[in-house]
Amino acid sequence: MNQHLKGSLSTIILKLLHDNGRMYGYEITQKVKELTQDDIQITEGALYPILHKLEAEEVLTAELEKVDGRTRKYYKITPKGNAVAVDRIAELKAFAENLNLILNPKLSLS
Amino acid sequence: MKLNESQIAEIEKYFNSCELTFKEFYDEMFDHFCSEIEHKMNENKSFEESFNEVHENFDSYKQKVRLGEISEFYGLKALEYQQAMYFDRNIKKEYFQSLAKNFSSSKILIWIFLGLLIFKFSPYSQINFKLNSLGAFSGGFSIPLNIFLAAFIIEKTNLVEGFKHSTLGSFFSTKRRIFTDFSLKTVSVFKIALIPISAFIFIIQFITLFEIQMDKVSQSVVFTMIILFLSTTSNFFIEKKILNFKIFKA
Repeated sequence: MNQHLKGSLSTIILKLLHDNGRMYGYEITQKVKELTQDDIQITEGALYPILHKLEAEEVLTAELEKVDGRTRKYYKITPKGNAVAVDRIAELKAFAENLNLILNPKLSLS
Repeated sequence: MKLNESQIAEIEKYFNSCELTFKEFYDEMFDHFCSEIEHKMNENKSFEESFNEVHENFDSYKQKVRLGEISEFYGLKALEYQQAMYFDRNIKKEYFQSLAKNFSSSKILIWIFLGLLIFKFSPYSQINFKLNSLGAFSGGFSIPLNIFLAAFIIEKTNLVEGFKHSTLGSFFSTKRRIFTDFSLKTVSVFKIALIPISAFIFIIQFITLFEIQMDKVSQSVVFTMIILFLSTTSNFFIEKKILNFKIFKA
């Protein structure tokens, strides 16, 4: 699973943030786990470099908030990043559909 | 299940051993550790077991660096270093792009015009710089600074980490630990500002050291370039919201 995940992880993160508004790092790992029923587990060593890179590129922006006496860092997509996110999500969707066509070729009726 | 005080102290002890630099990064990772450990403890694991699982996950992370005798960072430190590099790289790229815009767009006409104005109205037909003790003294500071900055620009290493692991850095903090409240972005932008400042000092040094005589042409070129660098840099600061001038907001 991991080798397939590598290239699409940043798009998966963007998709989650696009749908959920703002999330923090640990929440993202839990959400992915929940959606895929424990099939995909994102490691911290994979997640944070991507979040930080996207933040540096100003695709994401961060908000700090005190929760339970700890400072939590929430990420959300910037207006500039929105176009990037929509593009990448569409690309990944198209790719997944094509992959599906290859993996499950439909028998033609004729 | 919420963590109790001694458990939090245990996590803090581990974090302090990582020698992190940025408070922003420390807070984010600390929250992640606590959340994940709490989650694991809800699944009926002990604190020790959960804590070990979480930090083993992080410890496997590696990052190559070039800082004197250190060639690799591990775990949290590696993640932090990488984050700083991402910011440095992007800020550097954006800064040079905004500098290049001065030459590639119609803005260049403004600078040519300014150069001509200086040429026309400069009261001195020739400026003679003489090497004095003040110039020699400031040269003593600026030359090591420029070497340090050049190493940062060419080697693409992280200036803060470089400083922390240098002899000078250890002089400032006995535990080799400089913990900053500044955000990563702010630090990256300030590092970029050091480039034109050091270039400016270098030019002045060069002129005084060799007692160069500046005629009207070189006066207009040098002063126009200095104004160009200063205006681009201050604009960049405002754009990145590092400097907030109330005048511009009104």
